Amino acid sequence: MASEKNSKVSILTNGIIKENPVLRLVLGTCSCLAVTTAVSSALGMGAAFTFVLVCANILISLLRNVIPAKVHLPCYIVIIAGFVTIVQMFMHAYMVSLYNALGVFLPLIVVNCIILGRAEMFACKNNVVDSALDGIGMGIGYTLTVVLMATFREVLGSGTWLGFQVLPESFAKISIMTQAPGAFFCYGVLMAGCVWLEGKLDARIERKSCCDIDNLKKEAE
Amino acid sequence: MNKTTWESTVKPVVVLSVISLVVSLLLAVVNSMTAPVIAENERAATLAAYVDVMPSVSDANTLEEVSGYTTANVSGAVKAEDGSMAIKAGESGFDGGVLTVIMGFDTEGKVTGIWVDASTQTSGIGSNVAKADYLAQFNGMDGTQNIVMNQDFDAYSGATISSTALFAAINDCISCYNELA
Repeated sequence: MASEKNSKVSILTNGIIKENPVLRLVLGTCSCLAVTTAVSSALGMGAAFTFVLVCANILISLLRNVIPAKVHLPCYIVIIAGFVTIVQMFMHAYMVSLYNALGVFLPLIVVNCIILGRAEMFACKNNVVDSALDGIGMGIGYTLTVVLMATFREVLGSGTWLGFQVLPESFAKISIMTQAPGAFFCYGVLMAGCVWLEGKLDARIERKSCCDIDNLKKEAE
Repeated sequence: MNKTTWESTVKPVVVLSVISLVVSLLLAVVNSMTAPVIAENERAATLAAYVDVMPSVSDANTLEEVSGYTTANVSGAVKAEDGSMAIKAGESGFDGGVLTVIMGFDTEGKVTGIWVDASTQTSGIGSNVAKADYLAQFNGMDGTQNIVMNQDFDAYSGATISSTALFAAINDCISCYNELA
């Protein structure tokens, strides 16, 4: 029972550092680089993304025995696109400024590799609760990463955080941080930081990796 | 029908069709919920833009809708109590995206303001035609004469297609003003 509970927690925390979708699995980088010029749009994107990921994971996990292998990809895409369009319509109706800020990257969540990747790697093989936890964990990991990246880029590039002035006006703005090269620079630094942090954590506590969970389950059977 | 045909051919078709149908239904429901809100938001944004281009108007409720114009591509016109007008027109720019222009005219036909929505154009290129410092050149111009790009006013350098759409929409507004005035 203890290991059962442990594995649930590690599914949830897996997405934050050890298998962070952006920094460790290196998926969904395009949207991550594009929406991180401002913290507000990064938060919005993270929320929309997490919603779609959790819903898609739950539904695909529920249908995992119904969907034939032959058409599994078209089925996943239809389900994911449905959820994305729902989010898009609600955002267009109730959060117009966020909708305009995210622009084309909102509908592009449909083809975000993280969502399709989690459907393919996790949701189609695991039960509903585990898939939902995986979706939440991955969503938190993605949101934390984009918000952290947006923090660096907005503070250094525009001198603001969430629109509030945090650096004095006299501070020279590093405008390259708001452009593509600054995004790549931030991305590299965060990636290195994530690897470093993972090493630190591994040295301190014994952690079960994703593979270990599979092994634990096999042993239990 | 034997079991293998069902498993290999019919079942995938049925499952995919059912999933698509359910998702479409769900989208139809959500759309019927959000479409009126979106339309209302757009109406409010248009009204705010009308007020924006008419310095003599401060309250959108005092505006009176004008109809009966025949100019193509004009999608709306309002008249203020003092006789000044605002006209909305759209022209397709880059890759078919519609660029929307709202222009304000005072009672003498002078342009009092211009509002441009170029969010459908390429970000950072075509969208530049909506920049305030570029649009400032049109303020105060004679709103009764059609204008020619690069002769009366400059196009935005590097955004020719979006600029062409902008000038066409401005001319639509001017033609409509001449028709209504």
